[in-house]
This record gives sequence, structure tokens and C-alpha cells, in this order.
Amino acid sequence: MDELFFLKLKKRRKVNRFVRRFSFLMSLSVFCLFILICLMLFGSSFSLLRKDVFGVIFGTEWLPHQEKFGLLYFIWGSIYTTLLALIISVPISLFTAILISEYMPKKLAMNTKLIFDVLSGVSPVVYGFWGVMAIVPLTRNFIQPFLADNLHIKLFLSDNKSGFSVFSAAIVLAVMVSPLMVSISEEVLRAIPFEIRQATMSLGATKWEMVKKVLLKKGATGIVAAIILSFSRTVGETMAVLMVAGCQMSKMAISAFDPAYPLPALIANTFGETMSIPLYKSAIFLAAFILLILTLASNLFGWSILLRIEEEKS
Amino acid sequence: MISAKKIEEKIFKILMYISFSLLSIALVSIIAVVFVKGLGALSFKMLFSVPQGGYYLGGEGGILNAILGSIAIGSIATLLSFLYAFCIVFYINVYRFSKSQFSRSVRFFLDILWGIPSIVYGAFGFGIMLIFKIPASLLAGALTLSFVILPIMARTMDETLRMIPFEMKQAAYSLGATRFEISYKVIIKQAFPGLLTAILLAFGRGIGDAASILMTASYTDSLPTSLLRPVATLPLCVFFQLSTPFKEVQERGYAAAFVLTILMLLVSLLARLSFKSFSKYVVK
Repeated sequence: MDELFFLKLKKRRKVNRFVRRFSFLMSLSVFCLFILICLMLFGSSFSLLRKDVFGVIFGTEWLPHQEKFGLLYFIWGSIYTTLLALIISVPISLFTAILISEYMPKKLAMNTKLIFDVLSGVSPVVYGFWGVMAIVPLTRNFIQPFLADNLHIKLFLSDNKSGFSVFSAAIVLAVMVSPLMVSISEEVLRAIPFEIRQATMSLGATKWEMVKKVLLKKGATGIVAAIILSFSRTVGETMAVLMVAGCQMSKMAISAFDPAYPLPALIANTFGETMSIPLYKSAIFLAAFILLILTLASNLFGWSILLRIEEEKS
Repeated sequence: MISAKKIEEKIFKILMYISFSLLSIALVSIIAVVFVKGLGALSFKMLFSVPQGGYYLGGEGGILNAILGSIAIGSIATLLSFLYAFCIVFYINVYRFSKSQFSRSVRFFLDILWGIPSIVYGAFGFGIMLIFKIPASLLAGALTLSFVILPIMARTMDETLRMIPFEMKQAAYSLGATRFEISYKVIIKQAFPGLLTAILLAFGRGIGDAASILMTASYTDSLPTSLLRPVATLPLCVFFQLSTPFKEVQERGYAAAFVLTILMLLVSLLARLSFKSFSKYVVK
């Protein structure tokens, strides 16, 4: 009887030990996966980096068959669409977040957040589909002619009349990223203690004065973090941009209605052609590596701000 | 008398309502466009036949290949990343203390992985495939996709496991259970609703993602029959069919967008409902 018991115990402990070791290795592999991604992308782009770093990152000529890989226009395309998207979405998201957290009854606010949450989970391709079906015709037929006729500044004048442009891409990206920005900034505002609101209101401030002078000041760092995290989400977005931005390499996009060619779209579009030319392949991996660095840096920056707020609170 | 600050309050309140309605209109119009275009293109033939005469030119046939392909690649990727995430999450919550340095750094790296755009995973997977000379296939696509959804899965599961009361583990330890026995006899049952939500969320994300499988899984007109052959997926179907100049072919893209949206909304709804209904059986 005793012997049987100890045999069983031995077996149980053996199983436990095996599972512990196995899952420890699995947990370690999370670090390895990240390092592997970095190494792979860096290693694959190394042959191009060794040849000519500045010529690639600040070069403007993209002629793969003559071995000229200037990525500057693509980087510019990414930054232009992303910044324009943020310019559109930041005020809208911020006002919406204030409305949800300060003015709406609690139950309605919960339901609104839930709906935003569900809709932000819709596939990027569906956003792209919406962009092609709704935003591109709207831009082509109404917004672009209207702005070009009434405001004669360089920002709104373009030869590109197709509607597939920086502007359309920025609108689609703005709608995509707004739910995220609303939910982070709403949480930041909600985290501000209720006593502060009470104190401000008791001094005779209107609700908007309280929001403007107290909440926005106290929540400023959190809102900055929300914007940075949205930037990182937007800059890596591929499919929607690929479908809407036009993706022509003719020239640098200056006007908001010029076509743009952001980095993720470049990677997605040229994957297939890269087989024959080794340096071409390196250039694509370099584009992916730049994207990785951009998103990583902005994420770390955004998180460090949010972390500091949390530490201050406790 | 209406003072200046009352007017200011009014103006900004109106601005808030305007931005809220702009955002709502935009989001609702996405669903509206997908429904209007999709319902017009939907038919029995569209849902239950494969495309004829090439996906770029031929107008006949439907999107069955993409529907089945998406479900296949989504479920395989979800299964793989579930097994992976399962080990990680149980290790950092049961074998180590949830708040230990090691657990915290695993969580941090999972967050970092979450932030990496899916096109970068696509490039990574494609690079690995180039090194080992593996052609695009269902398996390669599912593996790449499983890395994309791993952080979502793991972090969602982690949140549920952290919520489990320590007294419950203590009670099990006092009966002489090993940590492995506690994991699969106690914690799984307590965390079941959360685990199910994690799986569904990850699956929903998986079928919607296109950038990572663009090169790793490629595209095909036939049904997914083998793990080692390319596979068609709904997001890529939308993307490819929209880029053709032919009206009949574009219809397939509309239908695919509709099916994809319905599928994702359904999964999202199911995740919320199942969490609610299974929470009944959990010790509070």
C-alpha cells in the first residue's frame, strides 16, 4: 500500500517537474521571439546598410533595377498620412472622450464605449473597403474640388484627380484609430479623483471651465500618451492605406490630394518581386526594420508616460 | 443675463456633440456601406461555389474558397497560439508569483510584441521562409498569424488568471496538490470564461488580419485541402477583387467584405455573451 502511494507521488512530481521545465522554456521563448524578429530584419537588411546607409534612408530615387533604393519618399509618405490622420482625429477623439466621461449618464457612456470597442475590432480591410467605396468618391467629387476652388494654397492643389490620396488615407486612418484614442483618454479623464471635480465646481466654475482648467491640465500627460500610442498604431497600418492612398511613386506628396506611398504599403506591394535582386530584398527588409523601430520607440515612450502617471497615483 | 462663460460652455458642448456625431456617423457608415454593397452581391451561388476562370478575370463563381480558407487559417492559428499562450500564462501565474520580476518582464515583452504591426510579422515570416526555402502555404500563414495573435491571447488570459483569488490556490496546496494539478483541476475551471473570451477575441483578430498572410499564405482559387498548399482568405479576397476593373469580379469582393464583417461581429458578440453565461459557474 505504502509503496504504491510513493510510486504515485513520484509520478505526480515527475509530471509536475516536466511541465514546469517545458513551460519555462516556452516563457523564455517570448524574449527569443522578439530578439529573433529584430535580428532577422536587421540581418537581412545588413547588406544594403553596409553599402550605403545615408543613400538609402535619405535617398529619393527608387529604381530597384539600377540598384537605387531611396526610402525617403516612402518614409515621408508614412509620416505625412499619419500626421494628417492624427490632426483630424485628435480633436474629434478628445471632444468625444470628454463628452463620454463628463457629460453622458453612466449607462449610456458604458454602451457607447462598448459599441466603439466592437467597431474598432472590425478588420482593417473592411475599413479599406469603406475608404474605397465611400471616402474616395467623396474626396474626388466634393471635398477636393471644393477646397481647390476656394482655397488657392499649395496644400490643396494637385494634379491627381482620382481621389486616392493622402487625404483619403488620413480620413480612413483617423476613423480607425479614434476608438483607441477615445478609450485611452476617457480612462485618463476618469482616473482623475472625484474630489477635485467637486472642489472646482464648488468654486462656481461651469462644467466646461472645470474640464478646461483642471481636467485637461491634470490629464495632459495621459492624453499625450494616448496620441503617441495612436501614432504607433497608425504608422504600422497596412491594408487600409494600401487600398486608399494611391501608391504611386511619381513624386513626393506635398498637397494633401497627392497620392502617397507609405512604408507598409511598399512592403506589401513589392514582396513578390524581390526574389531576383538580392539588394532589393534587403531594401524591403530595411523598410520593415524602420517600421519596427518607429513603432517600438513610440510605444515605449507612450507606456513610460502612462507608467509614471500610475506611479504618481499610488 | 447670459454671461460669457455660459456661452463658452454652450459652444464647446456643441463642438463635443458635433465631433461625437461625426465619429458615430463614420463608424455607422462603415457598417452601412458593407451591408448595402454586400447584400446586393450576396446569393446562394456566391456563398457556395469557388471562383471560375481566375480570380482576377473570371466573373463566375463565388467565394467559398475564401470563407473556408479564412476559417481554416484562423482556427489553426488560434489553436497554435492558444497552446503557446497557455504554457506561458500558466507558468507566470502558477509556477511563479504573478508579481515576480520574471512574470512582469514576460508581460512587458508580450506588450512589445502586441505593438509590432502585422506587416512586420509578415516580413519576418517571409524572411524565415526565404531562408529555409519554404513556399507559401496554409501552414506557414497559420504560423505567422499565430505570432500576430499570441500577445492578444496571452494578455487576455493573463488578466483572468491574475483575478483568481489566492485563497483558492492555497486551499488546493493544503490538500497536497502539485502546481500542475492545481492548474488543470482548479484554475482552468475557474478561469474558463476568461479563456474562452481570449480564444474568441484572438480568432476574431486572426480572421481579420491580412498583412501578415499576404505573402506567407498567398492566394488561390481552389478550396483549402492541404496544409502545404496556398490558401485563400476573406480579407485578401476583398483586397484582390476590388482591384480589378470588372464589375462581376468586384461583386465577389463586396460579398467577401460582408461575410467578413458579419463573421467578426458574430465572434465579438459570442465572446461577450459566452463570458456572461459561463461566469455563472465560477466561484466569486
